[in-house]
Order: sequence, then structure tokens, then C-alpha cells
Amino acid sequence: MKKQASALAIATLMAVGAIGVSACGSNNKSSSSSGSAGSGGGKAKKGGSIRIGSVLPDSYDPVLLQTNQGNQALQLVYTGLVTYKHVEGPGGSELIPGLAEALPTISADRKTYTFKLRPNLKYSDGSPVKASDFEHTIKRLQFLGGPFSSFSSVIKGVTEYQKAKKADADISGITSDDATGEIKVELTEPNGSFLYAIALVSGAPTPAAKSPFKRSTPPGVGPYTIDIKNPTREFVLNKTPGFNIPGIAKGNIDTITVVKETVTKMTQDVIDGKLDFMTEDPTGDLLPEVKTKYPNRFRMDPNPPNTYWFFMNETTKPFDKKEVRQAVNYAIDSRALQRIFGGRLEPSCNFLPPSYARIGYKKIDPCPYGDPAGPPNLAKARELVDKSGYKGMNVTVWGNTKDPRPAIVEYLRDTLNQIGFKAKTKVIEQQVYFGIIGTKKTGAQIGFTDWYQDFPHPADFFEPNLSAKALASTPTFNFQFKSNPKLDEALKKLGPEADPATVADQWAALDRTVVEDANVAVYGNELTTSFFSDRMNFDCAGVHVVYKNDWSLFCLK
Amino acid sequence: MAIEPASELASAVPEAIVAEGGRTRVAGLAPWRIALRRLRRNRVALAFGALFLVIVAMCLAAPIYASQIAHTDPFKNHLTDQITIDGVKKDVVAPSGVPIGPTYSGRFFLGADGNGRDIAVRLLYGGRTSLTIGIGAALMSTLLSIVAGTLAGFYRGRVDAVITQILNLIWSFPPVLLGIALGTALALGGLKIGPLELDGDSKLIPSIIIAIVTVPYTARPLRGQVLALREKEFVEAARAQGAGSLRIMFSEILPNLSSTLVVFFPLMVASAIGFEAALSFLGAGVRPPNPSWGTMIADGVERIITGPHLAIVPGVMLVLSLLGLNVFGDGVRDAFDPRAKVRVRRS
Amino acid sequence: MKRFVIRRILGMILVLFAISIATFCIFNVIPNSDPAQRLAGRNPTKGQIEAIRRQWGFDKPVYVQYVKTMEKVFTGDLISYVSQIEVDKEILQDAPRTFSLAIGAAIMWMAFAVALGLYTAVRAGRFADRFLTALALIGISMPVFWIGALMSYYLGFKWNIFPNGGYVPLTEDPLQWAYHLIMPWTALSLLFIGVYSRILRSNVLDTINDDYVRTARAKGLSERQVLLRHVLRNSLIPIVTLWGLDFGAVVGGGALLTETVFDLQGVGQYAAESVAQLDVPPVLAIVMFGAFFVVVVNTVVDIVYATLDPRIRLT
Repeated sequence: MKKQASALAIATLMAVGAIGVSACGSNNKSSSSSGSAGSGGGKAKKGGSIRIGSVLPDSYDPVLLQTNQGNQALQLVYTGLVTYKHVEGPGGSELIPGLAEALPTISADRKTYTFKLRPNLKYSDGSPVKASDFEHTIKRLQFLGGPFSSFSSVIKGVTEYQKAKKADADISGITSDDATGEIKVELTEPNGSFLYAIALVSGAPTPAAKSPFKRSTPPGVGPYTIDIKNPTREFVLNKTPGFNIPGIAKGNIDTITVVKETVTKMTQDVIDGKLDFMTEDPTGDLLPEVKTKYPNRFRMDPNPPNTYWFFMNETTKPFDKKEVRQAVNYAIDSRALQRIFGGRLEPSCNFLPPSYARIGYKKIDPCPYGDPAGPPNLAKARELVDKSGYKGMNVTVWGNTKDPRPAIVEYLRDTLNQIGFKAKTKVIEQQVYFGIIGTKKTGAQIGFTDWYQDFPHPADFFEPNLSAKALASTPTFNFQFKSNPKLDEALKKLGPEADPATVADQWAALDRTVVEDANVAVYGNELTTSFFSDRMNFDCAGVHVVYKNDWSLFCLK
Repeated sequence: MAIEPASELASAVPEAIVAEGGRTRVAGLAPWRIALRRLRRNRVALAFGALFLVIVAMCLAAPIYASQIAHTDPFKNHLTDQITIDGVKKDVVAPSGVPIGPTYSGRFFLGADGNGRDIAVRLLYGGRTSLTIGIGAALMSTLLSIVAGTLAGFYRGRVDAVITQILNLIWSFPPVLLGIALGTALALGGLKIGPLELDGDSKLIPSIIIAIVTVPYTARPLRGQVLALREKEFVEAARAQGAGSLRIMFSEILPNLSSTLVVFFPLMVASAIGFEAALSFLGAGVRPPNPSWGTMIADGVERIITGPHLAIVPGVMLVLSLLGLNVFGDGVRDAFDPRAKVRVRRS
Repeated sequence: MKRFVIRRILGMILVLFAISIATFCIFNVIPNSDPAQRLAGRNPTKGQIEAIRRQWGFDKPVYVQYVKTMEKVFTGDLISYVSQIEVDKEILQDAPRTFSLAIGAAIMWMAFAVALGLYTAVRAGRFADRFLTALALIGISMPVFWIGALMSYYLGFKWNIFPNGGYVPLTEDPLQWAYHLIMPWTALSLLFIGVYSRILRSNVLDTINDDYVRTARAKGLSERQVLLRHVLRNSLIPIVTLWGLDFGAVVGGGALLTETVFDLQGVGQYAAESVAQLDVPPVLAIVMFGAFFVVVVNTVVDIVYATLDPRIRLT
């Protein structure tokens, strides 16, 4: 894969050059997704301070955070060995060197990655960045059991490290040389997603001396430094003086203050200009008003890439029969669900999100179960249910309390009743929902689920949700409790590919298979919003496929 | 609470003392008859009592309304349907998610909710749920209070200590917090005590929770009354006759508690209905998709900007029910407490 | 007297202990709520779940967990499952808001209740009495979260008479602080004004024709002096004790609904949100805090009552 690596390196160097010229994002004003990764649109104004409304990160510790809000803020503070390109549009899913000089060289057997750290890097507190800090970060991640630790468990020696139960035990697969800055990472098997996973904030090196093995906020390397004024109410991001890593935007705004408010108040404050941006979507109640009155500072995008579908347990009745699963697909009406989402749903039947156009999404046309943007086919659905012999069966539809999921499963319940079942809902607390339905004993037949990407790679969608490998975890996210053998085969083949773009067609074919075999009942992709105050330059909306909005691209008018 | 007839009125009803096989029942006809007569004369209380009954009747008639007038049921989603009003076709739920407002016609009289369900139908069915849970909880609470209060007050000593400690424990918990903690926990896991097995979605669970949380508020006054009663002469007399403890409790103590309970009961129902609304509002009471006035208010508050009526209407029903019960309960209390009415004099 | 106080304090400690056990049991006896699973995030590996179990102490038996958790409550080390925030810091931040709400409302409802109760008692039987009693009854019948939501929407959002929710600390701007709290105070007070004014009314009516009052009149005191100096004082005693109890209950968690509706971010709201997320550590801490407060206030009220009324001390 050396050839691929150098090709990538050249490509990224070119991209780096392009980015270096302009710090502003694309000119795209349209309200749909994937704008060009262009560098046009004039010079962005530098300086100023803004206020952002958010529900605040679930954790300020980079190895422990899980939510997108956390990611948006902390990606400015912590940079990994590699990172994502800071551009709007599909280009944002490309990897570029971060703290490493270049993208790693990958061995012929695709199991060894060699990085070289840039020289003379310093953390925000002035201490030098050492090559061994990366291993320390992975150790922290594994020891504390961070939410994204499963992605680095493919590193050789991690399983042993966890068994040792000692913080300072060694991970045999990572060797680092502080003198030369070289870091060698050995995997137990080829894994194409690995690099994408460590590009996340959870893989960002932090100083070993200042990163204890408990919840903490160590310093990092990034265009901004964080100052936590009050962990549950406010924190401030200040531009890091002297930050200079080619390819990583330095940020236009000097000071970003992030405060916690209710979503309703946030919406009003952005309208009034008391806040400049909000990480949340305006409440359903105010959304129509915002859409119509402020179109020049409001847009919707299916970011971060996500898919919404109903899972169907293939090991229990009635969804063990393909006809029944197909019936569900025929019966659901994305237009109805669109209303429940307050208009923020793009109907679709693909399992992969449209933002993956470059790396594996190809619109399935025509959709095997009818046009998602058109009326459902209840008659056909009823016919299939009759044929299956399961008509009149009791079905429990599972959902959780997070808005608007209760309404979504309510709709599904009603629809299942219309096609011949006796359905009822069971809505449980969101915090424990996935753990409960992910346990086989629960026997959840059908219910709500969604997937927001961890990193831009089709394997991230297929593997955790549909594969046999996922069934090894307890709880699992494979709520079908079965896997399509064609899928497992494809994953074995495509998973190790370092760049999914090279095998995009095959990923698209897998997408098609999953939909045709009715392993899932997809209804669409959620559109998230970017709503700015009048002061903000709307050309710098910074809509990003990984971070939703890249704040380092923001600028004032 | 007056158990024995007030001295001023004893002379007015000489037949009050009914001798029965040597034992004298002091509590008996007198307070009841007087109270009933007074209540009958209290027009206002009766009117509000009737108001409550009207609401109950309306809610009982929910299935008729649903099938005959609204032509739907409380669970049917009409998300993509359209209805014709004055010749114009309108979306029940607009593509932006905003549901239709009141149509003041048979279908969707009060409009629709976010899932396209008929608000008026859900209002009536929700009333059934809220009222059933409220009345059920009050009954259970009364029963538990009688048992706890009587046992504690009568036996005293260790039994009293244990029961009082349990009551104190419950009473020291902030009631709403205890309610939602139990509500959330039990909704998740269901209730399994011995032979009793309830699914997390059962409507009995909120009833049981409310009953448990409100027991101390009735049990403690009852206990106090029992403590006083057991010293009375008629109890001593009964004992002298050779009656066992259980017999005494049933024949002497309980009847004397009855007037207290009658006065308490409407107010207990009112507070139980209010409590259920609060629990459901916070998401720890009735589980979806079952409607209750509390859940409807919660849903309505979420859409209050685009449809204030969604929050106002269930609230008004709730207020009217509580008002009916409170005023009627007041009237009952006035009827049993001779001093209240007597005191209303121009000073 | 001393023995009475000591006995009450011991009783208080016992109750707090029992409450902590009860709360812990409510949440730990439910099946399917393994906190390690929810902390683990997506598709956790076995090693990851074990790591979390070890970190948080979930691998120890229940009673050990209880002891450790209680230790953390008192040392201030308690961390929430959901947001990994230190619970005690959060409670300390939220407490002033709850107290602002409770104290302000308590003063407001007491003032209005006394005025209303006295007035309706003096005008007993007349139209004013009936009308105001009707209002009081309506006040009792209005659920605080409903009227609060409507006030917040109409007076706050739509007509902009009052700010639409939120809280301004007293130290920052006293005027804004009060301005933001007027609606919550009113919503919370409505119920109590109704109840208290009617109790006061009936107490006043009871005492207004008592012997000592007649004596006072015979002495030549004006009706007003009679009213204020004798009647009111005696009618207030049971009210004041009730007031103490209710205040304790409000701070202890009764204000929960008001805080939620007006988004005051007080202790009650924090508790409600934590329960909804099955976040045990804050719920435990807040229940203890609330119960402690309730019990302390009750004990104080009992002691005050005992000093005022020597008959009580003998029980």
C-alpha cells in the first residue's frame, strides 16, 4: 500500500496548499448538503469574539467524550497524529497529517503503521510533544474505558493491557522513539478504519506527565485553548498564540464563549443576536418561523452523516421472515415521519448516508419498496403479512424518551396495526435504551434506532449495526441479532482497504444488498441545522462532515 | 374533627343515642344525618360536585364520542391525512410538522396533536385515565391509611414505632421527587411482588405510587384519632364485655373514623389527580401512547407557540375537575364541622 | 428540653440514613440498568466494560457500593453518570436559585395569605368574602406547572411583560433577579395563598368571638387593635408552624415543577432531569439534601412550638 500512501500524501499536500491560501469555507448558500470544498468566497475577516449556545460537552476529557457537542468544541483543542481536512463538504472526510509530519507509511501486510512526529511541537502549556505521548493516550483510553476505545482495540497488545488491569503496563503493539519522533503501531489484523478512528479527538496525544489515569482535562495541541469557567454552564476557547501546523486552520475568531441554555432560549437569543450560533437545532415550535424569516442565516444539512431506520430482530417472530420485513419497508411513509421531524428529514432508502457520495453512497434508484418521498404501499404490505401467516400477532415497538422518538415509534405502532399486527409501544429512558435492546434476552422485536457516524467510513455504518463481529459485544448494536452472510464477506474484503474511495462501488453494492434483503427498514437522514446571528458571515458556516460545524472556519461579517 | 355531636346540638337530636345490646354507639346516625342535611342545603357545594360528575360522565362517554362523532380512536395517527373544512382540503399535519388547529366540527374538534391524533378524543380518554388513577390512588391510600393508622394507634408500642418510622421515612422524601423516582424505576422494570406482577406500562403503577407517597398525610391524623379513641369509655366498655382487639377495631374504632374519612376523601381524590398530572407531565407517570391530562399538557407545552390550545384545554379540564372536588370537599367538611357555619356571623 | 432536642436530632439522623438506603435501592434493584453499559458507549468490548466497572466500583457487591457512594456524597467526590460533572459543585451552584425561589415565594404567599385571610374573615358572609374565597379555591385547583407554563408563554414570550424564563443571580443584578423571579414566585404562591388564607380565615373566625377578645373590646380597645393585637396573633401560631413545614418541603423538592417550567436550573430541576436520565449519583445527593432540609426545618419548628407551648414538651 505504499503506492497508495504516497499518492495520498501528494494529494493531501496539494489540498494543504489550497487550504493554506484561504481560511474561509465554500460559497455554498444552498440549503442542501455537500457543497464544494472550494476555497473561493473572498477573504474571511479575522478577529472578534462570539457567543455560542450549546448543551455543553458530556465530558471535557478527550478520551471520555461521546457527544457531537463535545467533539465540536474539543476538536479545536486537541489534534491527533492525523486529522480531518478542515473544509466544508465531502472533502472534510479526507485525512491529513496532524501532529505527524505526513500520513503514515503502511506496511505491505497492512498491519504496521509508521508515523513520524513533527519536530518541536509544544502543547498549550508549553511542554514538548513526545512520541511516547501517543501510547500514553491509547493507554488512558483503554484504562478508563472511553466510549471510542473499541476502535483502538485492534492494536496489538491492547487486550493484554486490559487484562493486566495496571495503568502503566505496556502495549506491545506501540513502540515510540522520543529522540527521532517515530511511532510504530502494529495491528492484529488489517483494518482500514483504524486511521480514521485515531484521527478523532480520543486519539489525540496529550502530555504523559499531565494526563493522569482518571478523568481530567490535559493540555493539547490545537488552534484554540480551552478555559473551563464552569463545567456545567460556560467555557471559553481562546486562540492559541503561535499555533502553526500546516493544513490546520488557525481560526478566525479570537474568543469563543460557549454557554448552556435551553434550546428555546437559545433559538430566541440567536434571533435577537444575543448568541451568534447554536449547536442545537431550533425547537420544533420555532423552526417554521426561523426557516421562513431568517433564510439568509439558516441552513439544513444531513450532518454529521446519519441514517434513521427501524431495526427488526431476525431471531424472533414475526420479523424472522423476510416477507414481514419487506412488508414493513412497504408500509412506512417517510413523508409522515418527515412531519414528526418538523421537516428535518430527507427521505431515503439507502443504508449509507448521502454525504458518503465519494466513499460509497450511490442512490438506489428505484428503491425496491417504493419511492421514499412518495406514498406507501399498504396494500402490498398487508398482502405480505397475510402470506407470512403472522397476521394478528402481538408486536412491541421499542423507543426511547428523547424527542421525537416517542412520536416516531407511535407512528410505527399505528402503521403496524394497519397492516395486520397488534402493536403496542414501549418507551424507555434514553440512557439505558440501547443497552436494553442490545441484550438478546430482552427479545426486542422492532423499534427505533439511528446511527451517527463515528468517523467517515462505510465500515463504521455496516460493522457495528449489521455484522457478525458486532454480535460478539454485549450489549450489541446489531439489533437484528443475526448477520447477512453477504455482508460479513464483503466486510472482510473491503474493511482492510485504507481508502474507501477506491472501493466505493463495492460499498455501494453492499448498501444495495442490505436494503434489498430487508435487513433494515430505512426511512431517511436527519437534517441538522446551522443557525447564525446577523453578525456572522454566513459564507463561513463551516458545515463539516465530521464536526457538523467546524468553528475554526467561522468568521464575522 | 368532631366525632361526637357538639354539645350545642346534642339536644336537637335525642334519637342520636342508639342503645344496641348494651353497648352504646356514640357515633351513628346523628352526625351523619346532620351533615347530610347541611350538605343538601349547601347549593354551591352540590353544584360543584355535580360539575365533577358531569366531567366524569363526559369521560365515560369517550368511546361514544370517538366512534360516532370523531370517527377515530385516541391512538390512530393521521399524519398524512387530509380533511375537508368548508370545502377546502387541509393537511391534518402540515409538512412542517405543525398540526391543524381546532376545526369545531365533528372530526378534530379541538385540532390534532403532533402525530395527527384527535385532541378531543384523547382529551376524553385521557380524562378516563387521569380520573381512574386519581380515584384508585385515593381508595388505595385510604385503605392503607386505615390499616396503618389503626394498627399503630391501637396497638402502640413496637408496632406503632415501626409503622410510624415507615410513615416518617416516606413523609421525609420530597413527594414529587419520590414519585418520579419510583415512577421511572418501576416503568423500566415493572413491579414484581410475590404473586403481583405488573408490566412497566400498567396504569396501576402510577396509582400505587401515588397511594404510597400520600399515605402518611392521611395515616398520621388517623393514628392520632385512634390514639385518642382507644381511651374512650365505649372502648373500655367493649373490652369489659370481652370483645377481642380486632372486634373492637372494627366495631368501635373504625365507625368513628368514618366521618373523618368522608371529609378527607374528596380532597384526597383531588390531590391524587393533581399528583398524577404532575408525574405524567414530568414523564414519570402514564406511559405513551396512553393519554392522560398530564401527558397532554406536557405535549402541549412543547408546541405552545404554534398551538397554545394544546396546553390550555387539558389544563382547563384538570382545573375544573379539581375545582369541583375541592369545593364539594369543602362543603362536606363544613357539613361535618358544626362550628364553621355557626361562626359566620356579622361581627 | 434538651432531651427533647437530642431525641429529635437522633431521629433525624436515622431518617436520613433510611432515606439514603431507600433511594439507593430504588435505583439499584431495577434490572437492566447496568451503569457500566451506558457509560461504555457504542459496541463496547468486554475489556472496556470491565475497565469501567473497575473505575466506578460497580464490580463490588451492592452494600460496598452503597458505602462507597455515601462516602463520596460526604467528601464531595460524587460524579454523575451522564455528564461526569461533580455533583456537589452542581448542587452548590443550583442551591441559591432554589432558595431564591422558595424564600421569595414563602414571603409572598404569607403576606398575601394573611391579608386575604384577614379581610375575608372580617367581611365574612358578604360578597367580597365569597368572591375572594372563590378565587382562593381556583388557586388551589390550578396545577403549578400548567399555570406556570401559561404565564411563561403569555406574559413572558408573547407579550414580553416579564422575561421568558432564566435566572439572574442576586449578586449580579438584584433588580433583574427579582424581575426574573416574579412569575415563578407567583405561580408557586397561588396554591399556598389559597390554602393558607382559608385556614387563617377560619382561625380568625374562631377566635374573634372568644372571651379574651370580648374582654379586650370591653377594655375599650379599637376594633383594629383587637384584631391585630389579639386575634391575629393567636390565629397565626398554627399558620406559622405550617409555614415552616411547607417551606422546608418546597426547598426539599416541592419547587421542582416550578423550576422546570421556568427553567431556573435549581436543585429541583436538576433532580428531575437526573431521575429522567436514571443518573443515580445526583438523585442520591439531592434526596439527602432535600430530606435533610425538611427534617431540620421540622425539628426547628417542633422546638419553636415546644418553647411557645409548654404542653407539647411533655410528649
